[in-house]
Amino acid sequence: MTEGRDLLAQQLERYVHPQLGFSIDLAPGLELTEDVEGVALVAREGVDVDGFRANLTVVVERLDPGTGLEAYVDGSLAYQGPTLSEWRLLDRAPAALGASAAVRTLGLYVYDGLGLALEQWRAVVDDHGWVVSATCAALTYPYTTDILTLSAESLRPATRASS
Amino acid sequence: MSVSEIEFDPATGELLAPARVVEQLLAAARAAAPMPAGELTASGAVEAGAAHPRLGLALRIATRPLVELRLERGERSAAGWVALGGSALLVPVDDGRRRLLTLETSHLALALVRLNDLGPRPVDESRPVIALTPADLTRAVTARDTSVVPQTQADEREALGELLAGLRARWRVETHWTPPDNSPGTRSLEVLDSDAGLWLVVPDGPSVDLWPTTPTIVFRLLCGLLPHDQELGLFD
Repeated sequence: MTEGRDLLAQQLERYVHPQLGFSIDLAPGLELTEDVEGVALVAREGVDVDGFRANLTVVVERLDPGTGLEAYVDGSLAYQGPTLSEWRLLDRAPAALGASAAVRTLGLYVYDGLGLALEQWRAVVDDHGWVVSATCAALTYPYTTDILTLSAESLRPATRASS
Repeated sequence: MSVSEIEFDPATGELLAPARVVEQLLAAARAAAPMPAGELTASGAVEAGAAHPRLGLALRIATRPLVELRLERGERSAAGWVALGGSALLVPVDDGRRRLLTLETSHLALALVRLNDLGPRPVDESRPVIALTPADLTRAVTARDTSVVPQTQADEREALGELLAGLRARWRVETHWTPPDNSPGTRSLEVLDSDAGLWLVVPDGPSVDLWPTTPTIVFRLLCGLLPHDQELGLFD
């Protein structure tokens, strides 16, 4: 890890979800919401940048038993693409969430007239799909991605062993 | 020039016209002169010597920008402008005409991604950096010639061969602005896009290095081409 990433990582604070038991390291001062239907956690910046508050969300969903990571990502992207205006996938690469293999994707779409960048990490743990999504105004990506990536990759999904 | 060579959509302000017509419009806008009439009037782009309001916005952005963009993709070139009120692009279309359009600046990253067909590519972390002279790079790309890398550099030559075998495009985006003291006033990004992956073309003294990279890094650099507000002298 570079010195810059170390310094950023030191600013983060551990959050543990009260019901689901997963943990994630977040920048201080984010507005946290745990009662959005279908979304375990929404963590939003308090300030608009380019008309948008960058945010990070965590979604946990039950999968058909035996669903593999690549199949989960394929299905998730196939569903997501048509639901997002002007969606364009830019990258898809191996990653990790804690000890779990993950897939990171980066794409662009338009919401409410704003061009947004959406970076996501997906993992499959104990027949559950985990998605961490980081969204920011597209042109702010170079300035927001480092801390959002550190947060996203700090997610430790709850497992049967840990629950 | 036939009327059909000029198409104007008053709802979007998008103009399709021969390059020389667009140049005439831009020249008139720069000089605050009456707009050229004739076929432009027939298309609805110009009325009584004035540009249609939607076209006028594009012309104002293009002639009074904060930031200018120059785009090259193979033999094709395009231009872009960013102003406080939005952005404009002037891009070639397949029939030889030019398309002049406005867009929200927040959509500019998406537009640049589309124009350069940026998308997922394979990433092989074992790919080496390839050092070439600018002339050898041009020769390699034009003639798909790997002999510009000495046979003694087998890994580099093999990587260049894979790059050239799947080469989709060589593209470049430059930005320019009037800088205050703390800004260079320009940035650029050059990319070789291949089915074998993406490479950054990085100047290194008298040579250029081809650095293997990822779509994510290219996107990050593409967004970073635009100056900060401070680099534009705004909000000081």
